[in-house]
Amino acid sequence: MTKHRSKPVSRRTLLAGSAGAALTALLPKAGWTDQTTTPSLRTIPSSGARIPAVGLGSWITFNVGDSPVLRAQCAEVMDAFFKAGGKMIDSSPMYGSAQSVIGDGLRALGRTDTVFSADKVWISDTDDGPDQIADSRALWQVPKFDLLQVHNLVGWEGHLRTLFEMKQSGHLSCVGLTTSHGRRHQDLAEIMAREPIDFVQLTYNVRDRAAADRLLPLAQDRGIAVIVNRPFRRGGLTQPLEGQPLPDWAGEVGADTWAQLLLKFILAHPAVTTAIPATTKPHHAVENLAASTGPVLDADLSRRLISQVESLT
Amino acid sequence: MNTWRLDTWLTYRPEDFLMFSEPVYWQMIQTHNALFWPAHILTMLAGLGVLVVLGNPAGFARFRPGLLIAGPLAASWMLAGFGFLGLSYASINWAAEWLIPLFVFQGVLILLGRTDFGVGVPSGIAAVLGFGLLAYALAGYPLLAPLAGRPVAAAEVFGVAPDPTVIGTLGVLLIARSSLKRRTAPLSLALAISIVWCGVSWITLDTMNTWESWSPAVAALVALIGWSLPNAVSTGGTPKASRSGRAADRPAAR
Repeated sequence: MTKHRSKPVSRRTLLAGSAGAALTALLPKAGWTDQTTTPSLRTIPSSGARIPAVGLGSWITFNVGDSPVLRAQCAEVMDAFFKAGGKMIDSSPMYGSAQSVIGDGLRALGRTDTVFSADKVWISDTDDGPDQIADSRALWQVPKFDLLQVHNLVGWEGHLRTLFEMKQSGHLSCVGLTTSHGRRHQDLAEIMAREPIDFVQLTYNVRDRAAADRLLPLAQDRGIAVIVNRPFRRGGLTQPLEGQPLPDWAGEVGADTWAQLLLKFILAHPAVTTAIPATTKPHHAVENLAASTGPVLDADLSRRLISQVESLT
Repeated sequence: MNTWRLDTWLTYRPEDFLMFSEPVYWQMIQTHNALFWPAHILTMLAGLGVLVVLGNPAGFARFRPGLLIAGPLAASWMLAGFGFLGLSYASINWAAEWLIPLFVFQGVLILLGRTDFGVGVPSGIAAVLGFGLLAYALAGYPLLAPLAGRPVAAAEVFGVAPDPTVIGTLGVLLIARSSLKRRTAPLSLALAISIVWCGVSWITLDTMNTWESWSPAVAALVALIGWSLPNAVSTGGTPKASRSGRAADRPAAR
């Protein structure tokens, strides 16, 4: 597996180089810099710590290889995200160059100590887990991870032992497990019921609602924080809705876009701690965070949104 | 509780494995081109040289035409494997590294099968299809990028990028096969490896929803059709050299 150990990019380099020029050129047009958002915070049950209800995913969007221009654009997204009050960024060794892109961005932006770093361990041989985690931490350039999750339950028993030991020794704050696309809910439920994990990550959105049947209530019962991935089905929800008129009640809940409505649907579930939409656009990062503010969708509006989205997608 | 479960794997679709976006993929190719420029000139000339030798092997009989064809072709696979897959593609797709051995193996295979190339004058439909594929790989494929609105600097060139290299190889294999009495094991295996790559490329491009996805798919289809046609061995202009000594592989003498 390729280790993306590109040279660290300082803020000065970003702004002085061609990549920085491209980044700087975008700033006046973007408009997000004028917006101020105070995202709502949600509590991690096991620790009592509070984090913004919207984080930043990195699957596909931050896997940009070695291109300085694209890496600078990712740093711009992160900059907008942090300035709008964002904290949690999620990644994985499976995401290609995303970890190193995040690490370079954090370093350039001076955010290595303030980010809520959520990464994963993803390797079938659990004996190799510690080495992979060490590699990941070096790529992120953070002192330690706030959250490490067993990616897609691969080797979960062995990796959980490693992660619990790291937490016990103070080298890790939180331990979690992930699944996506609605896969392996039964297995995840069994693990949630018996292991003292802090987080689960799963797919839940207006079209994929299976998690609400069992996993989300179980997370509430067990005091497990929930990270929601694929809030937009990787664009599969937002793209068909482009150009479609918003419901007439959207303004009442403070939603200006379909993306914000989709996020509000997710955040309406009391078990959800944070959703992690991924984006390549700084103003989308700000817009996503803003979705956590304002009124929460009630059960009736959630039902109406489901009905409307299902008729349009 | 099993980590690996068939019923779970059956729910995966190709898009679940695509870990980069289309713009990033094309940007990666452009960056790779910048890294290797001006090697493109050499690889294109090498490809043209292969085309010329294939068209008139008798004219190069004293220069070991098989090696003149297999050498540049094998080098192109090595360059595409170590260069494109290892240095560039792996930066956005870690699985690319797994395919490098396949490209190296293909290069070695082509070298081992060098005596099957340039054996006689190509003839028949397979040869026509082969020359068409090779010409498309050399002259047509690089035009896809500008036709799609991408810069010329992002063009995929024979010997540097895998797709035109593989499609050109399919052409060479068809041409070689047209002048042999039977399909040899090295050529058959080389064809299979090339088809496998076309499948990988087709799935990748199709999952990205790019219109160019037809290119490797059609090339593979054409190659399979040409490969399955009855042999039409030419007897004219056969080089006198027959280093393999396998009479069954040579054109029939009248």
